[in-house]
Amino acid sequence: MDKAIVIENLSKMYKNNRGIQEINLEINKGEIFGFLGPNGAGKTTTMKVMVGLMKADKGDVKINGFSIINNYEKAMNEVGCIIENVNPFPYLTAYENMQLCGRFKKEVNRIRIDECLEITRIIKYKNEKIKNYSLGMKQRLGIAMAILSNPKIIILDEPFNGLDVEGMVEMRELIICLSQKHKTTFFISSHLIHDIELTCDKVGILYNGKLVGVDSTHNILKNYSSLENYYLSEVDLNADY
Amino acid sequence: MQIIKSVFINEIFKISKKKKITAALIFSMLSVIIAAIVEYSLNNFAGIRVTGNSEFSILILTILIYSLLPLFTTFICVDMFAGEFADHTIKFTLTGPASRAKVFLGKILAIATFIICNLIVVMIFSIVASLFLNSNLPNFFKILVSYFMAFLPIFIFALAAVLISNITRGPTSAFMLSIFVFLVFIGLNLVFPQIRSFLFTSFFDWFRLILGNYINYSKILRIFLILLGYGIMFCAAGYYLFEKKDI
Amino acid sequence: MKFSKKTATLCAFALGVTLLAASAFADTMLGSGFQSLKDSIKTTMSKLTNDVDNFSANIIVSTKIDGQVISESTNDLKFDVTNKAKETREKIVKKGEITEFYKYDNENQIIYKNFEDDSYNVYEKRKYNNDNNKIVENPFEEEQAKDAEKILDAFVGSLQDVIEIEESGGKKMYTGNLSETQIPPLANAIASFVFKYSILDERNADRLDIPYPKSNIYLLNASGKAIEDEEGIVESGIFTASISAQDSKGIEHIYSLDFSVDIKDINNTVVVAPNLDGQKVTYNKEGYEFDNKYIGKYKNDIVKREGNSFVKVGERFIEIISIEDGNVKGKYYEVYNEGYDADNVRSFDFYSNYDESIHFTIIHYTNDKSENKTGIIHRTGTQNINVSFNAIIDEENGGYSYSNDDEEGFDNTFIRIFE
Repeated sequence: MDKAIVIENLSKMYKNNRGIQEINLEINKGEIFGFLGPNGAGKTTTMKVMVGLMKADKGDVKINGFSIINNYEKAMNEVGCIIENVNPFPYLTAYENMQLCGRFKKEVNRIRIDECLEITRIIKYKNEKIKNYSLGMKQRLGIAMAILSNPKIIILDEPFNGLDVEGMVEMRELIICLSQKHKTTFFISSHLIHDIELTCDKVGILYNGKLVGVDSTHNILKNYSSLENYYLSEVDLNADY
Repeated sequence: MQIIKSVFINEIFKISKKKKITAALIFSMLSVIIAAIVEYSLNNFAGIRVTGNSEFSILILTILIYSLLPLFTTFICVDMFAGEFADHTIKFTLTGPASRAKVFLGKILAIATFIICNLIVVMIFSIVASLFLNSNLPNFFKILVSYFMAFLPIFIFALAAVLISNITRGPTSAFMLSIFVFLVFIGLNLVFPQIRSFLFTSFFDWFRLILGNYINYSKILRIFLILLGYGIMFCAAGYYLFEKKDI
Repeated sequence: MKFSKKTATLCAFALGVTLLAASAFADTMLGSGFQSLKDSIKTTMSKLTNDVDNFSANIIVSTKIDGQVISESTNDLKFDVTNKAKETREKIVKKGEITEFYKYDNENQIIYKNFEDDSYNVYEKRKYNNDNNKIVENPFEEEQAKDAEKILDAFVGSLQDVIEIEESGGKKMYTGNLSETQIPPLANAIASFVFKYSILDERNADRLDIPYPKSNIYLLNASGKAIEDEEGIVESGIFTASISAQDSKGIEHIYSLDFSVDIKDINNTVVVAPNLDGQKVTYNKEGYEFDNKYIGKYKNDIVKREGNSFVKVGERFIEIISIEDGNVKGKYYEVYNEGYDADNVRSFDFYSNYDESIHFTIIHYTNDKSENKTGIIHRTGTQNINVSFNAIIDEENGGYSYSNDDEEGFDNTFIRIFE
């Protein structure tokens, strides 16, 4: 099976001795991967390295077979992402922000931008400046940007942040829909175990900068009553060291 | 190439949407108008023509090149680097399909474009004003060449501001430090004239060299090489820091 | 790939630094036309004042309006540095009128020519002790010159490179031409202002019968040329500046100033006194501030204030007893009116030594406390004298301060008494 994302021996340490160590992970095309872990485990760091915002100390990430270090442009060509908070340019409108994004792809036009804003239900506010947006609206805009160019891989860091219940449900549906329709690969980090359980078909648990368990949701639910139990047992196991 | 073009258009688009830019252009125009009024009244009340024939545009350039032009340029450079680092909007550009080298290049090109636009606005306005002030037609060729030459030192200063924006933590300190460096260089030039060849600020008004009957080409070439050296140095250092920066 | 990107960046940086350092260094080494001209002028002045035995100089200054000469002055100067002799010939042509001036000057005498009747005036100099007196001084050795130079450097700024240097056959030619577009606005404004309000103001213009620059004043151009010879001496220099202005009728005029100087006949100049045989000559002796006609009595009044009126309480006297070769001897005394007792009635003798100072006649006296003090005596009006007591003399700058032995209301002026 084709690999969408391959993470090899990835390490990145901060000065305070926190960070990630020796992460190895493979994600197949079309999978929805859930990246679980407590706050400060290194989820965002991993994802920042994956999209080139940070340089790894060691190891490499390959996206669609292209190394993020040596072949950044090809690796990122079909990737959409939200990392940490969504920070659109505050002095531009939602539409203008989308335009900036779309300028890199020929196939993106006015209609496609409106379509994405429609999907994320912020089309009403498309001509408002971002500085007037709420957190949830910014999050929706971030998702609209991430899906704008119909990328094959979407990396989302805490996508449910700031969304209302309705928004969360819609988001789940959107992810599943894209995955089924376009075979889009998702890499989603979250601390909301319930949402991950409902959305993802593969789960990885990051604890103290180390990847402590990777398995398919199907397998996990065979052995544990819920994903939460699996998570707690994995964390417990590793906390002893 | 397509990617650099997209980055460049995005940066220009962003610049054009900023209020600071409108303010910068309005201030440039205002300063031209104020200078024209001063010139007019000095001649009317004291009988003194501060500029000779056709020199109004050059006078404006001489004044602005040490004041508003570097100031506005610093605004843009700081906003485009330190400002975007500080409010994390840079993530947006960096996670796009453009490598950092291309993002850096696109931004630098956008800054260059801004400087050129600012110079063109000042030039056109000052030529129009000079038509009202003097009956004689200005020497368009010399004005054009002067404004063209003025671009280089301002651009070098912009690269210095970009480098500084990649060193400091916030936009305010980047701005202050850029202005400080500018003033220190100007001060050094006054206090130690013997090292003036080593300071790029000594050459802000190097366009004067082409205004006379005798044109010292070898001096112009030397200044060009000095500025070029500064440019390559600032560019390389700025890019190095930009490339290895963790967001 | 990553490695090479980093290396490429470092290489680019190194290239930039090298390019910058090399060109800036070359630029510093080459200097500017302005700097080398300045050095050349300094060398010239120092050689002319220290190394050279004699030389001639020719200076022409002329002013023109619209190309017509308004005034022209020609100066022919000959210097014999070794023998401390100098000859000056000046000819001024102003509106067709010629004024001539001639002066010969050496250690012993000064000779002037009177062009109205071709007669000569000869002033015999008194001998000074000062051997260091030079006939030409180097202005660059003075402290102010160094500060002025720094200010000039800053002011000239990037115009330094306007001066072009050409070399041929061991000679160097400096040329500079500032057109109106190059003249800094500030320099233009200052020059125009000074020209309008102080050089050629309305009254001056009226007196000289030339158009008054009323409006649209600006520096039209400034140009100069200098030639440096094989020895590094500037042998000739020409400077021209012109200002354009409109008169009160709105007619445009161009006012220009031409200045030229030639240094020639170095070590080849002979300065000879004019042959006075058969000429009408008046002899004068320069010299002693006081001669025999000043022998006599001088006085002024001692006045006190009582209530709201002045009362004369006595008189001060100076008696000059003898004057020999500039050496003055005399006495000072005070006489109080009867019924008025002063605390201290001063009376002492004084004398001066000729040539003690080149500026003043210094007197020496012993006051009533038996302290040796100095004072100054000099002429005032035609026949009167001025005396200051307890003076501190600054010979170098030609100044003095005095306290008159702290007597309140002391009057320094003494009036000659004719009996």
